[in-house]
Amino acid sequence: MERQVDRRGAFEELFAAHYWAVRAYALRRGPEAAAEDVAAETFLVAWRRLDTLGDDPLPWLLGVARRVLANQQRAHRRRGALAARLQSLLPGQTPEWEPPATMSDELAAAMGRLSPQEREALLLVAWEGLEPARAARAAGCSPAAFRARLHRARRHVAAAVAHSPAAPPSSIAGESS
Amino acid sequence: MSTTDDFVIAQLAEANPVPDAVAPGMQEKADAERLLRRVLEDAPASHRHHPRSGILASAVSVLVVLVVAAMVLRTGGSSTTASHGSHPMQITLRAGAPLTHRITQAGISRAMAVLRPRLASLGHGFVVRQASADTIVVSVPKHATAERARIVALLTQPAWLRFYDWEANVLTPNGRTVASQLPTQSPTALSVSQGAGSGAGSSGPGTSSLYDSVTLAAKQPRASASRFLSRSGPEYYMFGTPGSAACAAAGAAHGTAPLPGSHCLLAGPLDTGSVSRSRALAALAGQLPAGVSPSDGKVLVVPQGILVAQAEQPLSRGGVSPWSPAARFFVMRDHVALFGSQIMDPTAGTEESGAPDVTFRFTAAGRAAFQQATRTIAHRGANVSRGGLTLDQHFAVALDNQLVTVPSISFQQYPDGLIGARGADVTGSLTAQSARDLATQLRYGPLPVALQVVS
Repeated sequence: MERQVDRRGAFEELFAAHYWAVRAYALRRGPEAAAEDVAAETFLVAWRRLDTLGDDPLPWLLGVARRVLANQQRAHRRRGALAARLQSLLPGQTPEWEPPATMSDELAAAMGRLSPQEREALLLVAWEGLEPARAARAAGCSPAAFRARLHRARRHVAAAVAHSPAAPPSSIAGESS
Repeated sequence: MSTTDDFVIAQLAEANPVPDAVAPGMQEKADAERLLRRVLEDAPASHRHHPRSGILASAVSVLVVLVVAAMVLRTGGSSTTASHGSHPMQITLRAGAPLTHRITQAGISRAMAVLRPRLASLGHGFVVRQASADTIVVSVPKHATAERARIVALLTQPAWLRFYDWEANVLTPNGRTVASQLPTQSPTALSVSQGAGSGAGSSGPGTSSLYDSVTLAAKQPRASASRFLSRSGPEYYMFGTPGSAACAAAGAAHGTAPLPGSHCLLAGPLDTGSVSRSRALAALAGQLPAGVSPSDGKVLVVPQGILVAQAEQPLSRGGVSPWSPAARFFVMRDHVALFGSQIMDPTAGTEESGAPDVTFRFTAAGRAAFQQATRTIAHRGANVSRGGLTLDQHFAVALDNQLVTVPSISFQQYPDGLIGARGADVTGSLTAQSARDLATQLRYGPLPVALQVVS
């Protein structure tokens, strides 16, 4: 019983420390309606693995949330109408990317042309604020593979945005005296 | 990191739809607390190898959907529902909301998140899915089809739990609180307070028909806005005249026989928030049974700060429906001492006598409110008891404006009220099944939107 109490206490601490980050991760990538379920399923997995979590569980939690979200999106597509199902099977369709309304058209289009792994690499750094080593754990790949993805993604987005009319200066001059 | 790289990350960070700096609101915090309970409720169960409840039920529902999807592909898409085979019954619910609010996707999602664990308490296999912007469809597994009434109750019971200082809120027919009349030992006030043998809060002294209660309530002055109110704004009712065709139509619609010589409820109660009277009346007219027009009814408006509460009765299916002409009601001031959000860990069990009960603990704020309310009740009991007459005062527990129990606080045993350190329990009008259902409803919080069965 004491062990169970300790376990519950440890879990409540984990939840208090990271729930908002996991929820925000889900909200940033999927519909608001799904965010709570994603967080719930993520922490349910965390409860089962509580004894094996290390000192820095957030990247692992975000990795679980990513997989839960992907499963939900797959299930959602299957629940959709037959037309939607067929549409998702058409060759050349890019994976789901629904940019937030806060993103400019140019940036959204550039992000849409990335592979899901490249896009996720950028967002883990830009939105979740993770250092590349931690972001690699969240992405489920080696740090070397993550750095390569991140580099490719940055290069593609920077080039695409640089060619758009709304591009900013390519370099920032020093402030005049 | 190069300047160009910085620019990409900076642009993305600027487009972050959920910035970290945004602090969660009250509703989000409440959602988080509920979600933690939901996970913990499921987690130990999975540890004990009971893998299909709560959240896991949604995994089961995904599996069901996958099977259905496979069937669709094989049969050319002739079926997309789970209404056959393992789910022989479906219940369709339509969401409604106070007139001042629109039904949002978040509200529907939260409602579904509340419904799933409620249903999981009846076993596995329920599938809850959203069919349209305001419609939820529940597929009921074979093993539960015989319990439709109980399922409907679990799906539609809003489950707003509130606690009141009984004597300080309940009114006698003269419109004054019982507490204000106890010092003069008014016979009517004494009988309402002490229940005259039938127990405080039961269908005895001080109760009246719904029409008479609403008529009394409608005459009361409006209270100022306060965080202690359970409802903001007035509540509208429409009644038909005794023996009218409108009453016959309403009786047929609600499955009740009109009581000869009595007014009948045609529409309402309708919580209208702050909308205009004309809009409220239009909404009320929308609730009228087929063939009944607004001119057939009389509208009564209960002001903010006053509520009409149904007398205590068994919550089991054998109880008196609030639509029944036989139902009895109290008129109360609406000054809530403790809200359902201030309790934790509701659990069904049995008290020492073997009677079913629901035990719970208090949040820190809840414990303080409970202490304060019971102290006030105990002190009043001591003050009004004199001449060998012991007048213990009471604490009323109401679920969706229906009194569940009105226990007394012995001022001799607890002269400064109850400290609530070990929580409290609700007992009295519960059966074992209704105690389990009540605990389930309280554990996952009230429904954020009203749900009505449409088929």
